[in-house]
Amino acid sequence: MFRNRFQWVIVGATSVWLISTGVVLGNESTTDDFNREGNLSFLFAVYILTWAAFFAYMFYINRRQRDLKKEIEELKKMLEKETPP
Amino acid sequence: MVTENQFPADPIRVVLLFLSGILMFISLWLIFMWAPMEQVMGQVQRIFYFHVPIAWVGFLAFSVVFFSSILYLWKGERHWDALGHSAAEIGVLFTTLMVISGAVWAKPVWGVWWTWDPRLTTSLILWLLYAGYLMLRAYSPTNAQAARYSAVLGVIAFVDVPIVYFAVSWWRNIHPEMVVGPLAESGALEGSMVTTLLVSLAAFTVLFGYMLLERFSLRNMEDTLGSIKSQKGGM
Repeated sequence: MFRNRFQWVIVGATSVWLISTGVVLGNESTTDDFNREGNLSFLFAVYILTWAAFFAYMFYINRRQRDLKKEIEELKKMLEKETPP
Repeated sequence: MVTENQFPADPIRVVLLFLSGILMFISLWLIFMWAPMEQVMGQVQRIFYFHVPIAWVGFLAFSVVFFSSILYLWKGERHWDALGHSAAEIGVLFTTLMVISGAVWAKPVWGVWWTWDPRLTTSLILWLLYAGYLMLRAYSPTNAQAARYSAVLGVIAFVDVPIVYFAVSWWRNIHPEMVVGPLAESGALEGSMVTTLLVSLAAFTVLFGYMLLERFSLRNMEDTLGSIKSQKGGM
């Protein structure tokens, strides 16, 4: 129950972040008024997006590993019970 | 047969995780605190230190897919298929990030998110080919068919990797030429920038090694589960 709610919080927060980043980037200055010191939001968007993607992927892999491990153990116990001595 | 402790925490994975963490920390320090600001593009050029290593890891992942696919087709051993599958998934993740980081860099510098430049177009084709590889696996009726068909595609799709790499030399367009590597002009990049890039490349390569081992382990678990289920069904 908590895990499902936690997943929705992560999905919601990521969506809000992506939308807000898109809005900010859409309004950013481009080559017309190029500012060498500015445009930092583009730089941070790339770094945050990259790390968010890595963490999300590793989170998915680790959770799936944990679930499969549990399922394998349960099936193994069932097989041991079903196998005649 | 499933045995106790079949999936222990591999010490190599732990070492790779710590090493990639340390290298990433050093790399971030070099990128933001040490590397000088590029004269024309300014601060946004620092995307380069993520964009290039991400692209490199994407190519590395697809090279692993290529060699694993050849070995699977030759020897028919399941672990080559598992390795190719794992590398393809990570390669697609990195190629997606390469395309996105390139688009975010292009907007302030070129004024557009996307343009049909040969490097960009061939990169998109690369992404589509390997996304197709994953879809082919997902929709194949049997595991054996998924392994065989995707191994063939893994060999064919790799043809696009050198095309992406050489696209900037073959068809000059808006994407900058190579600044590192054998085809780059000497002195195209300032010394401290080269050092920063190399540390970042090392950090991402180690991270790729860690991710590949984790994904490979997951794939082995999936195969083990499949064999237990078929064993159970046969009882």
